[in-house]
Amino acid sequence: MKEITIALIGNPNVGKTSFFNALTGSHQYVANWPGVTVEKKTGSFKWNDYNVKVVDLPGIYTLNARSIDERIARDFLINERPDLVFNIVDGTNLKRNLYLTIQVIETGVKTVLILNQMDEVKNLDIKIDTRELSKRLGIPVIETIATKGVDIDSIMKSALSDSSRQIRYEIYPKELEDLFSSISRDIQNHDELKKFPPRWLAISLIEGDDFAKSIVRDHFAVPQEKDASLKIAKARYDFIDSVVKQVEQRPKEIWTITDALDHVFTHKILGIPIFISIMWMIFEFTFSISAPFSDLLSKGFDDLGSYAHLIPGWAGSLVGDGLISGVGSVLTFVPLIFFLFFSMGILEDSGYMSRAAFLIDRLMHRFRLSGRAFIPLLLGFGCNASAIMTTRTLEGEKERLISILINPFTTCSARLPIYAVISAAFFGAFGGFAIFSIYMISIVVALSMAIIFNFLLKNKETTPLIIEMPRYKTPTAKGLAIYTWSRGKHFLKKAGGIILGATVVVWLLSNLPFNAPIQDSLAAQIGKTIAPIFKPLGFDWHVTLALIFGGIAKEVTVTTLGTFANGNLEEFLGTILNPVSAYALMLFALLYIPCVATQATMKMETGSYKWPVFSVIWSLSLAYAVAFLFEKIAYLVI
Amino acid sequence: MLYDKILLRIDLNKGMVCIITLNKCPENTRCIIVESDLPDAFRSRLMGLGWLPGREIKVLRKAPFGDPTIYLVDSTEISLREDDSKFIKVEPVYPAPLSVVSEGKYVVLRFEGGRVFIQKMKSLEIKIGQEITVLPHEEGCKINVIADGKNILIGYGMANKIFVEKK
Repeated sequence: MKEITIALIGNPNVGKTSFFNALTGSHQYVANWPGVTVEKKTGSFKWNDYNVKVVDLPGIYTLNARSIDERIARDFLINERPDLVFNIVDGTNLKRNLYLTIQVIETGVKTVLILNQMDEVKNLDIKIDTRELSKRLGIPVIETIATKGVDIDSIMKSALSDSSRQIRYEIYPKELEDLFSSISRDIQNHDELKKFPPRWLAISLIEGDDFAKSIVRDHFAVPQEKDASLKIAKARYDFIDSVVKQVEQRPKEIWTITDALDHVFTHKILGIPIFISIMWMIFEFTFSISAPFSDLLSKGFDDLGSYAHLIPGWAGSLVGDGLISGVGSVLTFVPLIFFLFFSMGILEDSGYMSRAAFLIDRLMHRFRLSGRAFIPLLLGFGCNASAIMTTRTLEGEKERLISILINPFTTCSARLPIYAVISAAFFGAFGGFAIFSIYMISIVVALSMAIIFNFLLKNKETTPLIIEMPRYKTPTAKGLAIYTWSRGKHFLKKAGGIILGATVVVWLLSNLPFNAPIQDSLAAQIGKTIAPIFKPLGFDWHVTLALIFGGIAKEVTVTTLGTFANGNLEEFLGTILNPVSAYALMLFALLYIPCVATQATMKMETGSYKWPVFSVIWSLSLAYAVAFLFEKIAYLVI
Repeated sequence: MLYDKILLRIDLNKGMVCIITLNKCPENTRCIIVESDLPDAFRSRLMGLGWLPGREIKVLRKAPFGDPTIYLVDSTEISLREDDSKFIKVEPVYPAPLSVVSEGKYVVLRFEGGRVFIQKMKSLEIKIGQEITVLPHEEGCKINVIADGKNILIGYGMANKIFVEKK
């Protein structure tokens, strides 16, 4: 068995992750918008007597890296020296993609060009002479349609065939070439620098790349060339132009479906109303379609609970009141969450998300956020912890910190069960509207916090924004299934793990000391000790305790109340809350402390305990103040 | 005032050429990148996308409220904010909108507007193929042109939709 490592590199949104899935047989989520892969993912497969490790790197446009995701890709290429690089190229966008290809070839690693999205190339009536392309670049070129699977055997064969024709093609003018070779000689005189590819290092130094400069430090002086980076880029494009002219035939500009759709979706007057209606439709669709499933599950758990009570003694109570009633109260909302992800999947895979970012960028700008910061915010509606990871695409340190701090205010889907249960109990037909209002408040709070944090942290920089507009695509059933499952499965995992555990603890607390009525249980004692703090908000000790446990994972708020409720949660809620305090509880649940997983991610991404602690204190006081003011005002009005 | 934002340059081969910043280009304009004063990091990323001096940009669409704008270079559509695009100097390619040309003689080539706009043009008696003379004007103001010996003031927004070619 031989071990080899293959790195996948390419521009954002060219299908690297699809290709990765096709190679390794895994099910990583792929989106039709740039910047989904922000860390490297690894997988492996066996081929003949090779054990192949595949590393999927974040999408980048150039190797001159600035933001964290770009640095991850570049560092892997330079420091880890993979045995083979698969440069994934969007066949419909050859000209732009080849820029990175040239830079990758310059690093001296063995490169194979994977010409992907060949189905789209055919659709657009573009003709590419693959053999000529391979000859001009001096590397193997393989055509693929990664979304439909790949022929691993033929790819590996041509990738490993040692017919690496070392053609020297002239890209740069002579004065630059002379400069490169003189620096290359200097580099080879230093032993510490020998592990770096000399040509790459020489070119990067002339380009003024900071990373290259930091490698060389003061080993020798680098001759300065005015406008050298521009000259180098120009030379590369001139070369690319000549190659593309030779290998590609493209029909004259035609009015494509994407153009037609964009005419409507990004329309000056209709664009924003369409955006709002789409968002509203998603809500309506998600709630109405999932309702029957949830009802069915809820009824099922009720019946199951009553059977469990047939088991005599404390075991029956643990299973019936604790596990089934508690965990069941969360599992009831699994259809809701899956349908929500399903609709978001349609938006993302179709390519509409980038258009949405384009439409509302003006608004984001007013709140001193760059359009790039919009992406983590949007993902926050799924899960804050994973959304915070995607802030890595932001360049400014302060802007990144602000994005991390405001993210928990976007209401993640784990909070949805809390809203759903309260709305069902108190707001009846207006339930959907109550939840929608919470989502709107969530957006307003997150954006207002952005202004406040910008002020507190004295942030002046905003990252310049480039949003790439991908072509529209019809979402595939397979893609949607992967998306919905990969996003939704951690709910099921959580329900079986942390939520189950927390429920058992809550049951124990509320049943100890043994045979005592619930009012005298340990849980009641703890709750009653802390309850006075929440008294002004109209929350009794049940709610207080539920909120405390909800800090572990937000769903636990519901399971805890479910354990207290003995089966009928809606009726129970009616006895401890009224509509005003119920809405206050929804507001409180929206704003108070990020869950443990989110706190851990904050620590990881900011590298210090300071920020999660700050976030907990800040959001707790905010939640308290908002809920308190809401109730005071509401009671005055009613 | 005029020379603050619209720089005029004498190019011996092409005659008078007008250099403006990219954010000033209305929809449907084509222009050539002249230079950019963007911070290094951003400039190199744009370079990776093909945004280099000498390359052609097409202004595709402006968002509601006029910012950001989608541009097309090669076959990639990207969206840029006015805050960033104002650092990129470009030279419009004819046919260019009337709002970006400097004074001189031009021919009206096409209208990029809806029915109401075309009606308006009719009432102003501006026709396709007509020869017009643009008089000196300040940037962002109404544009004074002479057509068929008549003096007409054309609003800035309207001038964005009238595409002309150098006579």
